[in-house]
Amino acid sequence: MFKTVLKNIWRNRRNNVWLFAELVLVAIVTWSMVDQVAVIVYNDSIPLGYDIDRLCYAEFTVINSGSRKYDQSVEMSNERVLEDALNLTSRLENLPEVESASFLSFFNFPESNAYSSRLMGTETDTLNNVCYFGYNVGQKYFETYGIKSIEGYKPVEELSKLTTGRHNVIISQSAAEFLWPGESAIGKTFVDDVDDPDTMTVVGVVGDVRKGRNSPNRYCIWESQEKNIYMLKTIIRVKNTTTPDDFVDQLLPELNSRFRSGNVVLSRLETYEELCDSSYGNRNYATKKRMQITLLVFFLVNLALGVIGTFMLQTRRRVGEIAVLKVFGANRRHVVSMLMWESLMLTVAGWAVGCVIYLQYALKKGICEQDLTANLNIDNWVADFPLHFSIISLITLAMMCVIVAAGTLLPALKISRTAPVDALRDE
Amino acid sequence: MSIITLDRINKIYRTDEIETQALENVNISIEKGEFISVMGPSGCGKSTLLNIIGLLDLPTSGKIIVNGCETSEMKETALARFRNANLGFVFQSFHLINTMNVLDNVMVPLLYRPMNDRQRREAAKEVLDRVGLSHRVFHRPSQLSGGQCQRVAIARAIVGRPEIILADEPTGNLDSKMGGEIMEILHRLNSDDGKTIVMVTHNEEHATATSRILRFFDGRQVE
Repeated sequence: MFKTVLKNIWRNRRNNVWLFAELVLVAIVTWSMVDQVAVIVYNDSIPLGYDIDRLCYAEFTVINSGSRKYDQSVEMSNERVLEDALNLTSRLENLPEVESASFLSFFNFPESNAYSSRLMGTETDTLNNVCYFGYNVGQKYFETYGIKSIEGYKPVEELSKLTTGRHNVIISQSAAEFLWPGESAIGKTFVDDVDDPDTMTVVGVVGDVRKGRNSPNRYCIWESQEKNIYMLKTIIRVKNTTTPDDFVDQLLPELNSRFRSGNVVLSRLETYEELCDSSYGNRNYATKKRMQITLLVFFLVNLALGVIGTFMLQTRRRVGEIAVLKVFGANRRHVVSMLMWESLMLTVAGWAVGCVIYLQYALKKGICEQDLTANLNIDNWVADFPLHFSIISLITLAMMCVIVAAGTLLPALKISRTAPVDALRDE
Repeated sequence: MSIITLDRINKIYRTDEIETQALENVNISIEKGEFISVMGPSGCGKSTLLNIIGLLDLPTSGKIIVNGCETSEMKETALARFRNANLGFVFQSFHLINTMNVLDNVMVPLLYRPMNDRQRREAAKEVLDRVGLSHRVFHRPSQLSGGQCQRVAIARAIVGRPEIILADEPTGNLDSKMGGEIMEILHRLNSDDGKTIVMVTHNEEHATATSRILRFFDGRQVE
């Protein structure tokens, strides 16, 4: 069978050479398109590491002293503002729909626009661009976010109460396993800068958390922070009897009037999803993602139509040959399988050559990283050139086979159903 | 012993507006080893008859028994297998596959038999030798004369050792000399190998050389 198929391909080489060239081109274009979308899909598949489905984000504002709403009777000080913000956080936490709330007074939290990174260097390994997060002690930070405890280490409930200070830190599980594989990270030290190194000691390990959706990085450091008055906000975790959307809809109409303490008001309330969607990095990422997926669909539809059309014509052109085969004993299955195998073998050959050509390009320019994985020490297939190349090549092959099979199967089935006498008459 | 029996065969071609009776109540019995000619004017149903005997077309009504098998109830796959095992076809316009060389064309019926490539090759070479084309095995049909093409077609028809050969105007596209050569091969297959041959022809001289002539007119057997 395969020998016959190969012979047929060779016999029809004058027609097949154009088909082959088209398939090589299709392989190259599909490769480059699939590569980018696969990296995006891979990035999206990495868990965020916290329970975004039940989180809301609230921001507090101090009323301007010139405003009509400003209460002159309240003696304003940093301590008073903080006290009012914490008071509002407690009121939010005491709502029946709320499971817990965590006051935050800094900018470096998951999905924040501000990016903060550090280095983790040991004698044997170095991790670059490690995400650096802060937390306020005693504010149920890890539980509210839903960050997971790791077996063998302190539970997150304890870590939320732990004052770590400048030189004691909590790190993510991936970072611990990368730097000290198979060992407990507790008590281990690393330096966090090259030029002006500070020695840091690990006091806790928690589950991985991504900086944001536009980054797959799961290497993180947490450090407790002093409360301050500049970034007053609260993360709210709602109970599973409600949804963040319902919770926000319910509170929004009475936001300022109901949640005021002194001259501090609850000025912004949204779901954590909305916060993520509005962040600059995510907006860029979402736009890029939409564009890549649209391009892929556009190219694939066009390529599919082109390839299907070509294969349909090629198959129909052989109606006389098929009629002869049927006269001498070929049945429908013989005809369909012969035509399908011919198309698929040609596709595999076109794909192989296309991949080799693309490999030359990829070796020079590098495979797609989408700015997502650059310099992030990602221990995954996206950053592993041979594995990445193999996976994308196989996806490309599968897509091409589906397209070509669709283009061949319909005319092949039609021809196989034609009575040999009709086909001979047409010839 | 009858190798082909046609019992009350009717064939009607229908379109939205016209109904054409191509064959009307045809009853034929052909004995094993006979060489039959089918004659008649164009459009009288000769080729339709041959296609129905060759199981390439279905009758509108009636029964066909070929080599002891009632073929009316056979499904497409069984018909294909039956054709492959029992019937060889020779057409006026050869119907060789132009992209294949002579050897591959002859091997076509053997592709659907449980044989390896070497066995197919040997069988094809043997029959090509019999039709005098052993020196043309790697030529394309386009590189052969009409007579040579028809000899390739005959080789293809007999390579699977079928009992019955159906020839639709095998000399129709050939000059008289080449036509004579083809007829000689067909007679040899009939006399030496005992093949049963049913041949449609317009050539009275070729027809009279066969054992029996069936004459058709307007879809009816008249003689």
